[in-house]
Amino acid sequence: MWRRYGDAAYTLVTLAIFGFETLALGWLSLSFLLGRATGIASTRVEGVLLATVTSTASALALLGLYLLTYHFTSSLRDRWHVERLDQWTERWIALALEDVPAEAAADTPRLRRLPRAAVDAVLSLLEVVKGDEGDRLKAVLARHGVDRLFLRQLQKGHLAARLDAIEGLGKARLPQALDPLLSLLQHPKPVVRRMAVRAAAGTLATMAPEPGRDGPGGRFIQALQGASLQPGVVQESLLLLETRAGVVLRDLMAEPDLDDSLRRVVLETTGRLGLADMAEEVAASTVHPDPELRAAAFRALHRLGSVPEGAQASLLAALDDEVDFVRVQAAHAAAFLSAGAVLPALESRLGDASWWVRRAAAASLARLGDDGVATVRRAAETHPDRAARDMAVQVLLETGVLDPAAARLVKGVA
Amino acid sequence: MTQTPRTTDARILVVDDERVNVILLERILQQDGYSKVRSTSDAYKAAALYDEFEPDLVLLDLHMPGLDGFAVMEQLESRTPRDTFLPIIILTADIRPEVKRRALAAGAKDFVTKPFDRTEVLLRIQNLLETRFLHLRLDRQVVRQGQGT
Amino acid sequence: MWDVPLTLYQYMLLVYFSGLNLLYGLFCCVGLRASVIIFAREFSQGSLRDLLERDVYKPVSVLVPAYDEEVSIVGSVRSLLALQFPEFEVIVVSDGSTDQTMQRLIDAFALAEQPWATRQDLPTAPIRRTFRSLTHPHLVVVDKENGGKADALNAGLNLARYPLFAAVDADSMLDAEAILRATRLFVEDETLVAVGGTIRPLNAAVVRDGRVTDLVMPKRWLERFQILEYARAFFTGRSGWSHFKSLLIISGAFGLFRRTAVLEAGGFLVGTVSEDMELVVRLHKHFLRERKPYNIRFTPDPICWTEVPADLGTLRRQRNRWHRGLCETLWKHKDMLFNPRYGRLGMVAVPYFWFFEALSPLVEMSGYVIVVIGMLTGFISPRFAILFVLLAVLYGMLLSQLAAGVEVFLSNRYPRMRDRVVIFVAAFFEFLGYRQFLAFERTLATIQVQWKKGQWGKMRRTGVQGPPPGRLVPVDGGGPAGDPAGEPKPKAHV
Repeated sequence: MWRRYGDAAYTLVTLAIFGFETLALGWLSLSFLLGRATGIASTRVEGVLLATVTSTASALALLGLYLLTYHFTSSLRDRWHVERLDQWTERWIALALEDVPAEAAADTPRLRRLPRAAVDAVLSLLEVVKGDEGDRLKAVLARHGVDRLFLRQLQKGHLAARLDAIEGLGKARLPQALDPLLSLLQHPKPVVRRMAVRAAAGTLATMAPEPGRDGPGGRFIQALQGASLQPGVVQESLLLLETRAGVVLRDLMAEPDLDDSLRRVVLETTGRLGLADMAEEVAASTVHPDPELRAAAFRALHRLGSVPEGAQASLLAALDDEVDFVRVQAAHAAAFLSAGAVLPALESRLGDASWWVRRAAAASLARLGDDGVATVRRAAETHPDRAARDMAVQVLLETGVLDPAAARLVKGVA
Repeated sequence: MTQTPRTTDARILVVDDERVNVILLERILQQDGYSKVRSTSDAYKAAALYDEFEPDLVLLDLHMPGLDGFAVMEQLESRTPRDTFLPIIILTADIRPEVKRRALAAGAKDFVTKPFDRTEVLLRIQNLLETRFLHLRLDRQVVRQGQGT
Repeated sequence: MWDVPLTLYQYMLLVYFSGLNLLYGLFCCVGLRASVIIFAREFSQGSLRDLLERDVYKPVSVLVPAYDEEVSIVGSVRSLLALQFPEFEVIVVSDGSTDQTMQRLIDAFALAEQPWATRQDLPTAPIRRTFRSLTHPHLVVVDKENGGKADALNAGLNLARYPLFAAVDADSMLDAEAILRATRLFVEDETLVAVGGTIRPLNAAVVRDGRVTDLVMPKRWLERFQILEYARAFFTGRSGWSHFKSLLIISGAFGLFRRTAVLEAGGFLVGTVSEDMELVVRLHKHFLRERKPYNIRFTPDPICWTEVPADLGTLRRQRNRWHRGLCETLWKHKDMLFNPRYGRLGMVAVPYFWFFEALSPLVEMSGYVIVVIGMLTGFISPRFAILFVLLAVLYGMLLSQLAAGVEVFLSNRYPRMRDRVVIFVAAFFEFLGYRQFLAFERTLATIQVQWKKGQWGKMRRTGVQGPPPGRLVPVDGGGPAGDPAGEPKPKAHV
């Protein structure tokens, strides 16, 4: 969204100008008061005033100059950058596809440092291509010391440079960057931690799997547990693990002292990624003491589309849970049990106090085949609770069993 | 007696909002012998380009701002006569099953996940083009038979 | 005899401006750092794309309150339904419209009346009928008795079923990608209850299929000044406040809220002029009182485009309304002023809005008046008076230029060099009349707060709200749609 050059300078200019102006105005106010209080001729105050006016005018002129210069140079620079980017992209593609023999490509003249455009081009390509081609590009980064530069910037350097480095490493996905990135999960600034965990996840995704706590996956999990990250951020990073996600999630779930909030994230992500083979592990959390976790487990099972045998009992129990959001999620998941097992329980939930539970129960019933639909129809006509009848009618409308005219008839009768 | 054209004679259309992807795919295809490749990074132009170029295969990015891959597939669907086998390969970083399902339902014939592997991409393209040309040959035979009777 | 009070007052003026300057500078720098420097790196194009491709978002209910909108409602709703958002619903609430609004909707979207099982989370005026569209399953239309915009929104909330909601004005253009990006923030931060995005004026831009494809500078200086103002307000002002967790204003044009949080706080307040600002302040109050962790923030991305007034009369009314809304809200929550119970908000943000926002037009006007009086009574020498006014003007230009200068860093800035120079120049001209004019209008508004109170309810959308929206419909490609906006155009039907 923003250009990245000149922004830090601009902030400093702003700071300088404001600081200066505060002093000038403060001085003016003071002289004014002193002038009036002691009756000193107003020419002195006027003098100060004139000085302030002049300084403000000069600040304005300087600022104007800076901005105008930036306007001109940035359009040029942007255009120039795009051209260079294209050139380098073509060059790197040729190298990656081995159209150009390696020696010729290494004639990128003895430049040890690659220009910004060149680095950007490689990183963009690395986001798109893997395999042999990807490896050749990573070799380019190594050959020109870009990776070492990033790693150095990671540890020291001001915030903007550090963030640039994290971003670069996240794109490059270099295995040697994993541990330095993981160490940043303890950094005091939240933005650094957030970016580091995302970059680490991206890096891990392309590394060869090595089982065990000392393998890259294991180290990632250890680092996650010790880091103070918002659950949503952890979820994002898990989603960035791509095909590695399943293994990492399974390992996380198996961790003995897994934090509750992390466990909840694991359940959510398992559901989102549709990892059906983890249904058993997920089901184990349906009897967790924390209602948030119970609900998360049921939501995950719902997303996975299956409720293992062992969890049936806990689901039926959960339909009577004292916490409403647990009942809601259990009702949703109930759609995947056999009708016989769950029909009566769901039917009783149609009269639940919570609107959301009633809705979930009706929706699930409607998905349980003809028996389920028949139950809803019956409820629409004969259920003693008005709210239950209304919900039943609505769900029948939404699922197309009834059309609006028929629905009105049913409502009229009930 | 009509010959099956070589797959490298095929016309391929690439639609992706990222210039880098477009250039990369073009080069990969060119290096492999495909000379008739057109591309655009503007999803809105895809349908028009399709009409003009009449590709044998489309490489389509799924997540584009504005008009996304699904919308483009819909547009292309309305332009292809029924029973035509138009291979559309989806490029996406999204590995979730329901996205794949949705894409298949919308008309995609195969996926390539990003970041992609060159050999894999070329293989999938080749397979689909062979199928496409087989279909074309069959269609021509049917027409000829129809004309015969 | 005039000596002492005049002196004192002048001294206070100077101190006032010094204080304002200091705070303003602070926000500028902080805002720049947070919005520009950090944001640019955390969310480059690629990173955002990566996250969005992996389904990191939440579904949204879009609430559209409508009153007598027969001309534009079908077009608005159609463009909303066309949003490429994976999971959302559109809830149109006709607030007792007396014209053909409902009929047009029924015809255009094949609405079928349905008995609806509603929740009664919030009390509202009675609902007459609810409809569902047979052609667009995620469209719901409600016809209710008149109760005002806030009441209509509450009715919409009662029907909404997604965790997040956005209340939109028909005047604004929503970008599906924009909403998607904004919802990601709610996934990332569980304590987030409200997010405000950036608004930029749409006037004269070329729009195609609901997206801005070319930014063009409008021809009227009135609109140009507003472009400047918006850039200033969002990238430095709101950004700074947000960083200090004291954001009090989220634009009605683009605000995303967590439904449960808003319900907890009691929904929208009926009978206020700016129900969106009032809601945000009340959200702060509620969560601070309950001592629950929460966050309300501004995000520079996404950007929402809105049509800004192109003529003086509409602009005046708009600013008058905004200022009255501000004063009303501040007064309603005056118990927060200097109240340590509300932390940074009570001790810094609220006082700032009282003294430097609500009262600043009065101070500004009084400054001019003082100078004139001083000159007339000989208390101030003409030289002093001129220098003083010059200082005020130069100083204002400086602030303006500094803050608007942030625009230069935007990737999506005005592409043509001469357009950007226009904005640069506008920062100078702004202080030669435009600002003073607005200060005058806002001073009037401050005085009018008391007796214009009841007028909001039924006068909506008959010009008080702003010009009838002019550009939601795709303008066919080709050159800049530089309509100098002589008259407000009625929105074309799609």
